Amino acid sequence: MTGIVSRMHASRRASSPRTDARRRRPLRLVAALLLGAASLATGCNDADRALTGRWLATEPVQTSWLAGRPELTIGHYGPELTGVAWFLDVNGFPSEICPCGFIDHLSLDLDAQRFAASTDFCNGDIWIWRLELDDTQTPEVLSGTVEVKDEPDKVLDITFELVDTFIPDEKKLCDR
Amino acid sequence: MRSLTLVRTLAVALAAVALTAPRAAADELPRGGWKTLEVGVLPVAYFGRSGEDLFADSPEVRQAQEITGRWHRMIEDRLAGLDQVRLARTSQIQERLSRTQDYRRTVAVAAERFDLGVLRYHEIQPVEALANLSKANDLYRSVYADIAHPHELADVAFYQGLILVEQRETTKAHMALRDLLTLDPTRRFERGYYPAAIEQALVGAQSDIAMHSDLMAAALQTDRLDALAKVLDIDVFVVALVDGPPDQLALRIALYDRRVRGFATSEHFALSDEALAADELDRVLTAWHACAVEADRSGIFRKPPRKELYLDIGYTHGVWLKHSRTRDPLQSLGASLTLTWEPTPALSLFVRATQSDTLVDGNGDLLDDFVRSSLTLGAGLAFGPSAVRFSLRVGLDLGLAVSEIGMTTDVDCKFFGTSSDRCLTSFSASAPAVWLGADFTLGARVRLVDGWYLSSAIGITSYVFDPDVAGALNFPLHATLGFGAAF
Repeated sequence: MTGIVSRMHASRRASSPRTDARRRRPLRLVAALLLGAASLATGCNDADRALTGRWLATEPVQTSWLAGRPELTIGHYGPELTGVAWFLDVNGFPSEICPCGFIDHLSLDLDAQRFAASTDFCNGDIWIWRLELDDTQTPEVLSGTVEVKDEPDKVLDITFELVDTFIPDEKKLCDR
Repeated sequence: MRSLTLVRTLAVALAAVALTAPRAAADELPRGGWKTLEVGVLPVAYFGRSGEDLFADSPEVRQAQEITGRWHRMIEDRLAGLDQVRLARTSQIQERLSRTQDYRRTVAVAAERFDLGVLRYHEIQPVEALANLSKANDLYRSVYADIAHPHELADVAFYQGLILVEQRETTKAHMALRDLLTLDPTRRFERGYYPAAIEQALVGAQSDIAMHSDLMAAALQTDRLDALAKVLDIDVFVVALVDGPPDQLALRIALYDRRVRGFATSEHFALSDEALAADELDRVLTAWHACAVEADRSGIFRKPPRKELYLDIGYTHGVWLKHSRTRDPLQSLGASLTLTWEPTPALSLFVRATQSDTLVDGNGDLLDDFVRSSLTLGAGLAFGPSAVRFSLRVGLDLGLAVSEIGMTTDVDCKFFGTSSDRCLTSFSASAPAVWLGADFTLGARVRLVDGWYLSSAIGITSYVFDPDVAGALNFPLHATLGFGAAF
């Protein structure tokens, strides 16, 4: 996550007054060179995989359209992500109505650590996830909303916490 | 196959150029020169006057003194003509002595002492006079005024002689007057001006000099010559004098060598036949010169034989410039071991083994790291000074990856796997993946210490085989930095 933090800091610096920016230009150049060198040496950094992992809702939810404790297994690769949304009941078992759905990438803002993705629910609804990463907490959390597309009254605030960065194969198999 | 043809053509051209380049013969020869000898000629004078000649202007003596002056110049000229000899003529020696540190101050103090001694002599205070004159004598000699300005010192000796004769110190007076006439061998006196006892002592001293019983020995005090040589930074002094009656002149010559703290040559020959005497002088100087000149040891060293084998190891970083299945260039890092043989200074044959790991990119388009081993064999041109050598090389490169290489830009393939139904397009090269092509490298070798060097290289490889693999990943630009040893 240090990569994201660095990037956030860099964006904050970019918004500093012009004089400060000018004064810090050499430092920024050095930092860019170091980042470049680090990037050259490693190929990728944590920022490119920041969202990868199993994210479990912190609390069970109970609405007319979503009940239980959803879990997102996300694969994050640079500017894109994919994964599976698991719909679990309060006891942690897959929902009988719709156990899972694939996550389709919509948008991803690495600087803001924010993304939007959609999931085709079993009844044909399309769910939209709008979540933002907060890596200052332990464990890290994704917080935001989940809504049903084109149904403005079906919006729910939701928070997920990272339970594991490793995703076993069975958590990728959504066979409904 | 065009690259291979190019490699073959270049290799033939390189071999032709490099093999026809001559070996640097000078590499094998010792470097350095002959040491130049600093040779100084001390004053040359005629010492063959009789006692009576001190009081009369004899044409024969004047002629003998002229002949002496001519031989003095001849000695200097002959020495100046010798190789590896830098001559300091007598006048130059006197000038250099006059410019030595403390010379003026010491001579001024000595002159004061002399004046004081003369004053005490006229005040009839012989003991004080002798003390001051003796001090003046010591001061003059301490700065080698007996060579630089002998007449002043001769005056001191004269007054010492006068006082000592009056004090009836016969032996001391004789030595003082002998010093006088040795330092100033042309001095003459007016008959009857000085008391008879003094004239008699002068005649005795001159007769003694003319007999040269110990004249050369007096002139050749090695300790004093050695000290003088250090002051003037002279290697060899030529000490010469002419003696004998005017019709039987003879030249005595000796060469003092500071390096051995002794005399290298001591000869004497008659000057009656000038041509013969000149030959004798040449013989003496040539014989001395043949043995005296030596190689400049400080500059002599045999250049070590040129190293032909070089083994270096280094860190290698690479970038695949062609990456048709990934969005960003792929980076690789690893190590390389290079063995170079330079049978001639211009030809460089090499074999390089490289092991590198190509890393997953930020997008994850390369599904997993893969390790690649490559072997490069080739030749090139080497050039530049021994401290920094450059090489331009062409080689045949064979690369091998023992693991499968998977690449895709489909994010579902990355997460769910390439066998998943959601994975639409991906590239896979089954193990072992093989590359074959031509490598072009520009290298540099910087000598750190004897036998060790810093190596760096930058190059690119163009693969032509296997077409599938090379179509997906090609033209790795590689840079290496390392160190090595020469054998």
